[in-house]
Amino acid sequence: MKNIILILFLLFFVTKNNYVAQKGYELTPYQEFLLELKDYRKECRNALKPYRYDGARTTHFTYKEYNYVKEIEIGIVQKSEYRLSFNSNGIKYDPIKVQIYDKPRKYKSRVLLYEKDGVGGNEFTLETGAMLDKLKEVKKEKGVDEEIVSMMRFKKLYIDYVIPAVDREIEVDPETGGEIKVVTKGAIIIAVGYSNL
Amino acid sequence: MKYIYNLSVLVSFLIIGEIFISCNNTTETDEKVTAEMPAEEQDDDVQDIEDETIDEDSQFIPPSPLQIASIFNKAGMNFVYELPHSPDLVNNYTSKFHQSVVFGVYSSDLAYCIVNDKYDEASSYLKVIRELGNKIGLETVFQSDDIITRFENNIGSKDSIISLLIHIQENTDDYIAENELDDLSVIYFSGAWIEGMYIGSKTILENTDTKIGAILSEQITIAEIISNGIKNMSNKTDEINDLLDIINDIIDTYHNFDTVINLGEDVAFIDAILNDDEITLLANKIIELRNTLIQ
Repeated sequence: MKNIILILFLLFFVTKNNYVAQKGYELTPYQEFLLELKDYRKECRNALKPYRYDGARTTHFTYKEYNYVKEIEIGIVQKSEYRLSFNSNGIKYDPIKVQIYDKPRKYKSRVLLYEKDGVGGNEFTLETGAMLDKLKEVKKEKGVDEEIVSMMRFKKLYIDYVIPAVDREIEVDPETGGEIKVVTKGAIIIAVGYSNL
Repeated sequence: MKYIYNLSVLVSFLIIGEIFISCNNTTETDEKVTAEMPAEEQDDDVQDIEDETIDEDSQFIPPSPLQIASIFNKAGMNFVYELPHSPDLVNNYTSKFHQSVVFGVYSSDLAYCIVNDKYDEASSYLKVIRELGNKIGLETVFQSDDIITRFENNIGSKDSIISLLIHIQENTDDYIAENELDDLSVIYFSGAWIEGMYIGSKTILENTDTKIGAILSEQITIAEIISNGIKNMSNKTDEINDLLDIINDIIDTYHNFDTVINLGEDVAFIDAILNDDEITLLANKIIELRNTLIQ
């Protein structure tokens, strides 16, 4: 009986402290989010098949009180057809807009080749072939010589992520009573693959 | 009675211990909350500034070393044993900058060997890439599975080896994304690009071929992407600034060629077929850059 009491006492303290110690290793919500992104990156790459993987980029962003753009530059070599795979499951809040251009933002004359609104919590792929057709069409309309147009191909593409504005959100810190500005984040992944044929 | 006394002493110790542990746990909880905060709330101002800076800049995805090597191979460029950088010289590089550049150089050499079916040579490059990866903070990329054994088990099967190479590229890209090592990736890609260009330049100077010449001029596009990547790096050392200057000089040289000027703004979408003099000038600049970086 004496031993049982002693063991129960020890067991209580040991298990309690173990439980607390385990809690100390619990992942924070942000760490969990980063782990989720790891899985999304795999899914994003898998969607490239049958194209061969060439590279990928995860773009993290913070919602602000104004619209803004984050741009990615992609190198395209030779006349290979490319597939772009997007995974926006890392966007849990307001959806963003994806735009693809032939030139960077500093050029006013750049051509919008593709646009998709409501990007968030979804996945999609697209190929460069249709975008090249669109570019050639625009160039023809602008009077560029047909022979030159027929030789055109992409060397670079510019992906713009248009992040929408959100209202400022303030919370009261339950511990200090002070005001905290709530910052909302999101992430979108793009993987790029080329046709090996 | 003696037992009850002993038990009381034990319980007292345990209670004191528990109070002590509880105090420590309180500290742990505070730290845990603090550790959660940087991503969500704490670095708000800093993040805003970073985001605003990045708004004006750009992220990039250059072609992989395998894609570059495949292009040269498809253009009919033969394997030349003397061109890749010797893996025996890996210990010549002691600074992180040089190790990162050479990590890229050897990645390009590895791809060059694989697309040309030179598996023994490729195996040596894979080993030095793993060694350099450990030095520049990419050790996890090669720890997850036994890359070398898998490589050796698949020698002779080009498709399997290429799949393994892509797997390494994916792991590297993931690791860079997870650990925000974008600056490292810029330097690594610079090294890979320089080596690809060097191999192409040396080949073309010995055997002028317009097909490879066109590919050489195409690589300038990649140089422009890398140049933007270097400009956006947060911490630029003198070595990095020097590298940027040389790459920009190569880009400027290209854009000042008559062949390129004559194409006008359409050069952004058309392959420029450089003349022999232009090819020679460009190739020599690239060889000079490579020789500056490689010891």
